[in-house]
Parts: sequence; structure tokens; C-alpha cells
Amino acid sequence: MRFHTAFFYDIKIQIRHGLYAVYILVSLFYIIALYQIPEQYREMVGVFITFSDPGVLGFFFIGGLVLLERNQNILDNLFITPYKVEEYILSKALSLTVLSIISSYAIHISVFGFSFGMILFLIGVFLTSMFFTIFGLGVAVRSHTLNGFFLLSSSYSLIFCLPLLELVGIDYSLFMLLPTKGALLLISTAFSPINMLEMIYAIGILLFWSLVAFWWARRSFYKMIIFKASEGKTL
Amino acid sequence: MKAVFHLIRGDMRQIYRDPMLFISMVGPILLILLVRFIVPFVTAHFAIESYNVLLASFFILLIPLLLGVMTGFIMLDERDDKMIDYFAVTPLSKIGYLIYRLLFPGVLTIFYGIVFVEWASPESLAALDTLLVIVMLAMEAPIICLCLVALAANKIEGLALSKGVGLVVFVPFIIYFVPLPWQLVGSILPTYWTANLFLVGDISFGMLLIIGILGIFIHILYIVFLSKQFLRKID
Repeated sequence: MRFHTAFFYDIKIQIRHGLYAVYILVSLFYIIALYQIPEQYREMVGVFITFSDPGVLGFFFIGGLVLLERNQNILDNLFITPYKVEEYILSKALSLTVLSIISSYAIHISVFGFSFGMILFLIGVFLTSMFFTIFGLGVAVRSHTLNGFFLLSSSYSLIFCLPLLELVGIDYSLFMLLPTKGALLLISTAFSPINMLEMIYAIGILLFWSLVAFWWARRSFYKMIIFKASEGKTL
Repeated sequence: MKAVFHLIRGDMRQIYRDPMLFISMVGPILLILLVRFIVPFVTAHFAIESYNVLLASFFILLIPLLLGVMTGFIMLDERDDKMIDYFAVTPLSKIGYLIYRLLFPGVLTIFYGIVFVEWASPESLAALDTLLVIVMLAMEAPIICLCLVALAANKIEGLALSKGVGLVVFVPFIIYFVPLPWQLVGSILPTYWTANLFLVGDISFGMLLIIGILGIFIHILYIVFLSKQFLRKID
């Protein structure tokens, strides 16, 4: 019950602060842009866009959400209540993932129509968004300003972008260890089916990294917010 | 040698610790290097060199976008932290604060813009064109910054807006692909006029002057309107 309330409240906040409105605009923009792209590249660009925008939008917004709540001293008061840090992290990640899924679904069906791989595609977006949002939360509690957050998060996440190079033909088997590889695999199932083994790998690697991110974000949260290890620093 | 190395390391750490300094130094330089070295390589690879000018007119808009958004984030943080109220009671005053903050991205844009046009751009512009482009660019950074702080109530709304506002850098594609009477829809956006100077090709001196004066007029209109909006908001 407590979790439900938090989750719907998070979504309400996101709607009120214009996240949904702006994503209607952004999704429309992508739909129009995708139609302008020559057909032979359209699917590849579609995968890239789905991953790099709706897929990781939580990573972008979580910084603002956490910084604002910390700034308004909501966090200090929140955790005197029975509300748990784990619930906080999950509620933030799940609520932003809802927007990820709606946006990528809308872009996909408007440009490519319905397809068989739809379920796996959406699972891909779901897991990608969960991983990146939770990971972003771990970065957010370490920062004190928006610019600090973006600087930290882009340096932390650089390594996760490496598998994107496969879209231009550069691929190393080591990339298999990164969650992005699994994400791209699942998101591209909308166009080219994958076999059982690939599916298990992709879901497995994303789940594994999400758990690692969750463990790290939870630890960071305790350290930085509950025990206030970062007070007095300026980044 | 070792002593110098330590100094450099110390300086690098200092730069990194201040996200604003880091982003404003590294971002535009990376962008300029990208346009100078990587874009010609990629377009040659795909045999689409004819798009070089279009891409240059797009990438140059990213300089004021980056610096404007970065300054906008600083101001959003400062407003959420109630810092602006403190500045307002010092001799600096609110207007002084606003001018100081807006000058920073504006002046930097002039500097990077000149380097971009003179060194990185695939097509060199005539002197008057360059002057007009730089003047308009220099006003675009404050406009983008003002958009965030004048229209957003807090940093989350600011983040959402930065996504939407960021789309204005795609205006060059409208000019390039949409035929004339229709593309005028884009002319209410400041970036339309900057990109136009890149893309119109050979035109008469009178025409150039008209584009320049209209463009600068629209930029000033945005700055005045948004500044008023911002000052009203922090009252």
C-alpha cells in the first residue's frame, strides 16, 4: 500500500513538472525524424534512438528529482517514517520507466507498426530504463548541483556507451559483459528475432547489472544521504 | 619535471572539481574538434559531403545550447537554493546578477563561435556573414538559459524544458529540407536566422542585411521578454 502511494505520487510529480508533456513533443520529433531517414537505415537509427533517449530518460531526470527533494529537505524527513530506502529507489526507477515504455512504444508503433518482437522489445526498454535510472540515482546522491550530476554521470556512463559502436560496425566480444549489449539486443528484437540463448543472455546481463546498480545505489544512498558523508562538498 | 606534473595534476583536479569550468572548457572544444576532423571523415565515408555545410550549421548551434543549458542549470540550482535572494540584497542586485550570469555563456560563445567559423567549419563565410552569425549566436546562449529559468519553476521543470528547448538546434534541417514558404514557420525561432546565414548561399547584400537585421531583432525580442519573465518570477 505504502509503495503504491509513493509510486503514483512520483508519477503525479513527473506529470506536474512537465516530463510527460515534453516527452510528447520529443516523441513526435523522433517520429517525424525517423520518417525522413532513408528506409535502409531507419531500423538501425530506430534502435539507437530508442536506447539513447526514451530508454535512458530516467538517467537524465533522476538527478533533478533527487537533488530537488534533497534540497527541500524532503529526504531527511522521509526516512524517519517507515518508508524504506529500497522502496524509494524502486519507486523512482519504476515510475520513470513507465514514461520510458510509453514513449518508446509510441515511437515504435507510429514508425514501424506492430511486430512480433514487441514483448521482448518492451522488456528490453523496461530493463534498460531500470538499470540506468537506478545507476543514475547512485550518481545523483553524490552530486550537489545539476552540472555536477551531469559531469559525474557522463564520466561514469561512458563505458556503458561502448557497445553502441556496434551500430557503426565496431564490435568486441568484451562488450558482452556490459548491460548495453543486452539492451541493444533486446531492443532490436522488434526487427530481427533472436534465439533462446541470446534472449537468456540479454535478460540475464541486464538483470545482473540492475542488481549491481541497486546494491550500489542503496549503499551510496545510505552513505551520502542517511550518514551525510558528502556534506560540505560542492560538486 | 615532476614538480610541473604535480602542478598540472592539481590544476586538472581543480578544473574537474568545478563542473561549470570543466563543461564550458571541454564541451565546445570537443565539438569543434569533431566538426574539424571527424565529420568530414564520416561524410566522405558515406559519400554525403554535400551535407557538410548543413551539419556545420547544426553543430555550431550546439555551442550556445551547451553553454546556455549549463548556465541555466546553475541558475536553477541557485534559485532552488534561494541564493538569488541573497544576491538581490547585495549591491549586485537582481538585474546585476542576471547580467553577470548571462554574459558568461554569451562571451564564451563569441570566442568558440569564432574558432568554429574560422577554423572548423567546412565552408568559410564572408566577413559580414561571420559577424552576423557570431552576434546572433552570442545572444542564443542567454536565450536558451533564460528559457529554462524564466519558464521553469524548479530544476525538474528546467530539466524537462532543456529537452524541449534543445530541439531548436534541429531548425537547420527544416531550412534545408522544407521548401520556402513553409519553412518560414521556423522563423519565429532565433536559430532559424543563424542557420539561414549558413545555408542561403549566394545572396545580394541587401538580402543579407535584411536577414541580419530581422534575425538580431528577433533575438533581442526573446532576451527582453524572457528577462522580464524571469525577474518577475524571482520577485
